[in-house]
Amino acid sequence: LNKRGKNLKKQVLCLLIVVLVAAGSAFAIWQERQTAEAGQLAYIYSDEKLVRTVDLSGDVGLRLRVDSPDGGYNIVEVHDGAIGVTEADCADGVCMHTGFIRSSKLPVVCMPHKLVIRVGNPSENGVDTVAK
Amino acid sequence: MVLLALFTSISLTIFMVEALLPPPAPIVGVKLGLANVVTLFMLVAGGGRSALEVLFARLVLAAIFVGQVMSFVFSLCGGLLAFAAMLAASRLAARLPVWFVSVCGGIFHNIGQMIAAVIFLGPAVLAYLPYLVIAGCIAGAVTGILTDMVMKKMDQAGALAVLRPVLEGRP
Repeated sequence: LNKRGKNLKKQVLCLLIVVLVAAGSAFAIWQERQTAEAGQLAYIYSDEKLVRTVDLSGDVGLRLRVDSPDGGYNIVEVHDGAIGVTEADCADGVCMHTGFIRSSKLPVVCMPHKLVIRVGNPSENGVDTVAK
Repeated sequence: MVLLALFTSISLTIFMVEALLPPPAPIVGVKLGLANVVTLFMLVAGGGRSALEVLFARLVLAAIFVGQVMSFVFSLCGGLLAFAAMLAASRLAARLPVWFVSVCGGIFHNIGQMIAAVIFLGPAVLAYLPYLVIAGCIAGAVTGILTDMVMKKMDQAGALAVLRPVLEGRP
């Protein structure tokens, strides 16, 4: 019986640790959502290189094709101040499922094609805006 | 060797079948990782070295079958870090529950993938880290509970008693 009680204690302690870690992560997500604001510019990176800077309010209806180093492609579109991938030949299609983004919250990522699209504002960092 | 080949083919089959299913959440890097059941089973049954060999063989074979360099790098980083975390958690003096060892593996698998993602995709992907930690907890708990069920069934059938000395024979 003592052994069983000790085992139960261990189970509860382990559960507590996992719940704490998950709650900490949930808090981080919540906080990020609170501080995220709509951005003006979208930066499109392919293979870690900035290939294009898009003005989300100016380039309305923009549709462009980004070719990846492995020979694949992603079609990126701009709609109503948001940017997203609408077509791709990657294996998982996660980039399309992410949908359109309008804030700095989460970037659109296509892992197989090494594509990252993130939204930001011109003021936040000088290096990227120069590259336009 | 026959036993290792058998375990490798089991985990490769699970891995390939899971890759055919749609991703459980529309977030990069999120998956259940059911093939981890085999790694965890071998690790808990006593074969640390065998578990690592089967894991590595599975990752290489999966890369050949899937044929994507990027996903191989990602699964290698995730798989090895997860293995290290599970090995550490399972070899602690206090015998931790299998599901907890699996959760440690799940979290560190995703942290390993995150490290690869920062190297190959840039630091912008770090925004996904809290999502991946939570996903690792859930996926790890699921595969851990499944492993526990497999171990109980094997134990009842008497298979665990046969397997354990063979696996432990290779420290």
